[in-house]
Amino acid sequence: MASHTPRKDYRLVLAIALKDIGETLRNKNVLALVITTVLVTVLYRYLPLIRASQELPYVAIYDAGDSQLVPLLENSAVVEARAYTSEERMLDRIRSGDLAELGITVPEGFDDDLNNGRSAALTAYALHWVADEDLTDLVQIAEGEIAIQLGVFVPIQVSDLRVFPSPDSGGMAVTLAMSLVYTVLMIGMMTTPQMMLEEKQTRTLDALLVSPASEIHVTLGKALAGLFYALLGGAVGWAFFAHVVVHWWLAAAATLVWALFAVALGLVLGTLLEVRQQLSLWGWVVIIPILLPMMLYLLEDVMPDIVGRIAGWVPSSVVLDLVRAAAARPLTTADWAIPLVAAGAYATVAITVQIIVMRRRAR
Amino acid sequence: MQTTYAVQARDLTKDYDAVRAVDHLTFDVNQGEIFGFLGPNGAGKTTTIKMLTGQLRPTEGQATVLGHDTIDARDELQARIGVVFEYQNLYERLTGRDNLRFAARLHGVAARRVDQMLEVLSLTQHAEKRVKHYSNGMKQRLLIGRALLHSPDLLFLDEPTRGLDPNVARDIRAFVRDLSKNGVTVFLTTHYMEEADRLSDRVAILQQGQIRAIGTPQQLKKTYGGSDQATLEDVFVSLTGKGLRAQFEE
Repeated sequence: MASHTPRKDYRLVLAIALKDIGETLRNKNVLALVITTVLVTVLYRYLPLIRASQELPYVAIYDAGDSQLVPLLENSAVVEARAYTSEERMLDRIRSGDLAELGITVPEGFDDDLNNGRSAALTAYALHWVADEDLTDLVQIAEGEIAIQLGVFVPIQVSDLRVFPSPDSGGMAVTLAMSLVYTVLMIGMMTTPQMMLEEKQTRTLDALLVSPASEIHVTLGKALAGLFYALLGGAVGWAFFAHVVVHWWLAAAATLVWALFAVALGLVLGTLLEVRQQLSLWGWVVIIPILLPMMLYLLEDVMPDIVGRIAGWVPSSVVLDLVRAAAARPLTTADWAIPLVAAGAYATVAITVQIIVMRRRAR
Repeated sequence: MQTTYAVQARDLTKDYDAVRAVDHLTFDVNQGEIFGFLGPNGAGKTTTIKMLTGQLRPTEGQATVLGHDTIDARDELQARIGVVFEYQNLYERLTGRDNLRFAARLHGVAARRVDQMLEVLSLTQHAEKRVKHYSNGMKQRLLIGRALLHSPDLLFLDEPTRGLDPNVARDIRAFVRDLSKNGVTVFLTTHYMEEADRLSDRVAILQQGQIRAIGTPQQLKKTYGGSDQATLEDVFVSLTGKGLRAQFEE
């Protein structure tokens, strides 16, 4: 006689999840973990701004001709200017920025126009998320410095075409991706087992298992509560970086698959471990091998090719790519579909591992 | 399913690796009675309860509780039994009301039942306090309330008065008696022989996973006590003490 209906299953799972969500708010240890992790996101977000206050405004220049302006600006004490050999390279540099920066194109014949008294103008580019007021400030600084260096005012016209990061850009997109990967992983993977170990240690699990709830309901309830906090952490992260995001649907998909992966790993830990103290050790034993390859992947330019390639396929790197893609334009299907399928596959593997572990424990 | 027995255990056995914790237990518990299940520490009481409540799978034998097989009909069983554990396993960070509300959600019981239960337990004015601020007696009452929230037909009580002050223990004993009068079968384990004597309709004494004696307290006192003045404690010592002595001599 099967007395479990989908409605009853849903009720049981939801009851456990709601209890855990409420109880976590009163659990100082778990709450501290969630808050600390979210603070890391805040740090990621505002660290570049602290750096900006100590650095000169950055101006990337592409000189289509051979203007005297470039060496003058490179020696400026007001801006930090650097010349690039093509407009695309200059724009690449702008794409990888994590601060409000300016890219200036000096047209061919710029010096001749100035010397012959013809009107001359410069074209400037900036990332799409740079605020208008910041851009105006940057333009005024650059115009002032150019006027001092050349002895004549040259207007800078900001291009209507704002620059968007590409899927492999660095800068703010990477900062956002690292922050999200860390936040969701930490919260999902550490909060979920905390809830499970709490039940084991206080032996409230025994009471649950003599109620209509089975071990599967308990696990799904914990998963739902862990998912809630992991997604909440992700949402806070996205909120801080909202100005960077171009494709919100991809941002949501990336957060969901990564949260599922993190929670599944948390469930495995929560099932295998018996006390919270073990989690302090084993949690990091699992987290470090997940996060470290992502760092190697970001350093692939200085890594042996094989290391970079392998590191690019670990779950954290795949999600890093997915998050970067959410901040990129233009975006091809291959840019998001391959990492999304890979991240989904990793989440599926992690969930499968949890199912196997649960079945073996039940025997 | 109607049955005159609340519990029927047949050759119930549980091995933990090489250790046999429960050894071919066969006994019945009548519906509506208070059944005292006594034994020294490690005798197999808790293991037996875990098997009867569907938490543990027997190595051999089988048990039916309220007509339901403890393994095959676990879901039906859980809806009709209540369990009060020997430890106070409550959510200490939650309030008393939230603890009961959670249990009510699990059992699909109406929220108003929580208020009724708090009233019955005399915990209404402490309902919004976190359980960690409760006294032992309040926690024990809450544990009993949680187990009774869904109106079970059979209540397992594992050491319900251990560590409680005499007044609270007396209240709980009176509560258990009332439950029995209302038709609830009570499966009681306790270390307090006087409590078992006063409360139980029948008693089983367990030693090393086996039942040494089973019957009404009067029958056991008459058969094993050795005199008219014998107490259940005398019976307990004579049945379990011998075993211990024999073990020691071996």
